[in-house]
Amino acid sequence: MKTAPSQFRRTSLAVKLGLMVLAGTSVVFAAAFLYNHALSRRSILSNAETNARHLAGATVSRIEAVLNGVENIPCYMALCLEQRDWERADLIAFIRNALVADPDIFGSAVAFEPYAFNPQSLYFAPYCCRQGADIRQTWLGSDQYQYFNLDWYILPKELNRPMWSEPYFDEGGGKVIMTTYSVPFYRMVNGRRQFQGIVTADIALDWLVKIVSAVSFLKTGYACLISQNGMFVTHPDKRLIMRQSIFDLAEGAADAHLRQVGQAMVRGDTGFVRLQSPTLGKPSWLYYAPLKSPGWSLGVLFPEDELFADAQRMGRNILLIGLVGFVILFLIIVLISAAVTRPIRALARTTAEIALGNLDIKLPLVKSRDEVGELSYAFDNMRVALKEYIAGLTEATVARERLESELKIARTIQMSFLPKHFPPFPEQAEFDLYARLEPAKQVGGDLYDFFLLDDQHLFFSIGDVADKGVPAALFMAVTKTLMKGIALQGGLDPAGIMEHVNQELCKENDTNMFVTVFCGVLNFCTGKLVYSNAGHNPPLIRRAGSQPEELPVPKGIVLGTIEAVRYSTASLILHAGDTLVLYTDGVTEACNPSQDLYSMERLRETAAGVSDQEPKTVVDAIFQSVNAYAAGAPQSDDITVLALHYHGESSSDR
Amino acid sequence: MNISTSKIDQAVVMELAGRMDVIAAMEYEKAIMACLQRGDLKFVVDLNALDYVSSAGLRSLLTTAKKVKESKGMVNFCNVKGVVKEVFAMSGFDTILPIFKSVKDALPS
Repeated sequence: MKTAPSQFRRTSLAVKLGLMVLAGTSVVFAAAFLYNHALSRRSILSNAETNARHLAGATVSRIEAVLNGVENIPCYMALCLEQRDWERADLIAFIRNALVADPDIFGSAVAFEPYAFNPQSLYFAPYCCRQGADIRQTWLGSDQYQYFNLDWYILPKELNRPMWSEPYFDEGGGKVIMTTYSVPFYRMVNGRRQFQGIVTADIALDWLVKIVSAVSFLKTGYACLISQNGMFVTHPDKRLIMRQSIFDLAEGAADAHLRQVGQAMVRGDTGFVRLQSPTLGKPSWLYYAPLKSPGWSLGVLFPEDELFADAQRMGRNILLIGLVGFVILFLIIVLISAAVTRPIRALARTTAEIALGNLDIKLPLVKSRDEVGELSYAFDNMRVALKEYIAGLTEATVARERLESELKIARTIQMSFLPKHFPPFPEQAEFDLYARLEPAKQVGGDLYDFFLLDDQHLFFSIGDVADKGVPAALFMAVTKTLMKGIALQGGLDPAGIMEHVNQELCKENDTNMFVTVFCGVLNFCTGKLVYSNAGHNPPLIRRAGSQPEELPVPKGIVLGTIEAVRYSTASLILHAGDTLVLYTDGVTEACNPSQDLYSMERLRETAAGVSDQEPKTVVDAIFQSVNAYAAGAPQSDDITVLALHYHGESSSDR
Repeated sequence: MNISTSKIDQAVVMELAGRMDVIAAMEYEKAIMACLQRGDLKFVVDLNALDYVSSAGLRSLLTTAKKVKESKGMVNFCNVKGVVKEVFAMSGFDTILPIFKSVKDALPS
């Protein structure tokens, strides 16, 4: 008996179900997680932009408040200068007062056009600046320092508007970064406004550095300020200040994007961009906004990883929680499905019992009305059906066995009627006779017979009933009995025997069964053979020293079909050494596996090929040849051969 | 064995082809009986393509011929040749069954 193959048990339904549900849940979880992750990144980024904007805005406002305050002084001074003519001492005092008024101003100058203040003087530019707590007054202008050719003078003059200079490092003053606000002033000459000079206010930018340095964003994010030319005015890295511009950095890093960002900043744009920061050395975000009046730009830079650090930590936590959840979910599913499949497992055990043949076993009762209940119910139905089927099969087997036993009976009837002792007449030296019948599986109804009518005459016959099984066997028995009875009554030639037997067989023959018969009577003293034929294959006769040939037989209809038919008798003389071979169509119509017939020709050849004329040798040779030809193919008809060898009368003296 | 049936006038023409063994004999008997039940009474059995007939085949030919006769019908045979002719001759069936040369001859006038 087979048992369930072990590989079926390797993954239980519970584990399989658990894995499948987990796989499905994982997909959903992963999708939700990724969506949430993307969304939170976007929201974080947007928050960061807002914060950076606010931060930059506040810083810009603070700076501009100071710068605007500073701008007011030179503007006021320019206005005053335009109102009237000034004495030299007044002017110096005026400048000094401006420094006193605004402590943010480091120095201030009033630079006149050449010969404008004094027609004899090329240079006139008083300058006051702080020196410690004091204010020192000097004069600008010399052959080495022609101020009216310098940027801070020419640019406002040409552009006709006040402007801030590019920051610069003041070597002479307090060694600080400075920038200068230059305001042009004019005077009405002949009703036309005529340029007179430039009022300047220098301011130190150390406070600016402080303000911007104080800005921090996240952990390492910082702010920086760049000038109109992209030069760093403030930066956490002091080495960059006033030495490098944002374009130098872009050049150094060969970063075109950074250069574009620098250009946008110098243009005075506002923006929020992602870039590879050369100073931080990692992907970062930059928010930049312009300082309107000096044309500078403030940038707030912070590294991306810090921005998303919280989100990443949160993502890790969610994943961890998810993982733990999955393990718990898996355990729960396994437990539930184990509970669900418990009846199935019980069922499997029971069916294994059924497979072993125990059909009376009670199936485990499953009360649930679900699929398992249905399965259990179906199994029980199957068990009952199987039981009935097996019972039916047993019955059928019994029936078949009965049928087979009937066939066996038929064979027994057939064989029991045949004479089987050879040699049959040992005391008769005149002839030798041998016969053999091999019944087919279905039993064909062949027959042969021989007996002595008196001390000179041998009756012999061969026949074939046209049917199978028990009816054929019975018909054969009847035919043989009739024939023997009628022949032994005496006084009849073979044709007469045939006519009598036919008459008897035709009576009440509703089944239309018929039998072909050849019979003969041999006077073994004289060798005279008389014979008659009723539709049977003509026997072969082999005269001593000749080839076997067909015995010419008188025509006659098979026995059992038409009443009152006449049969004829023929006769011939057998000589010593002659052999008669009688056979049924089971021989000539024996089939090989490809359904070809053994045929008359083969029989004739086989009979001719046997040198020894002893009947047993001849019969066995024919059977051997037929069996070899059939090559194991099952035969549908009985095979019968009877051989008669005539020694002649003289041989009785042997 | 292959049985092909056609009808010419009132007669059923049955063409038997192949080997007529026990099983084929039963088929033939069934075919004739089915026609008989439908009311056909005249049969022409064409044995032109029949290669072999066993004793069971002979028996079914005889049985059906008798059955048709009982119903006042008739079965004519034609194109009997070769092995079949030999078997017919040997068994004497050629003397008890009506045999004609061709289908045309076998058709009832």
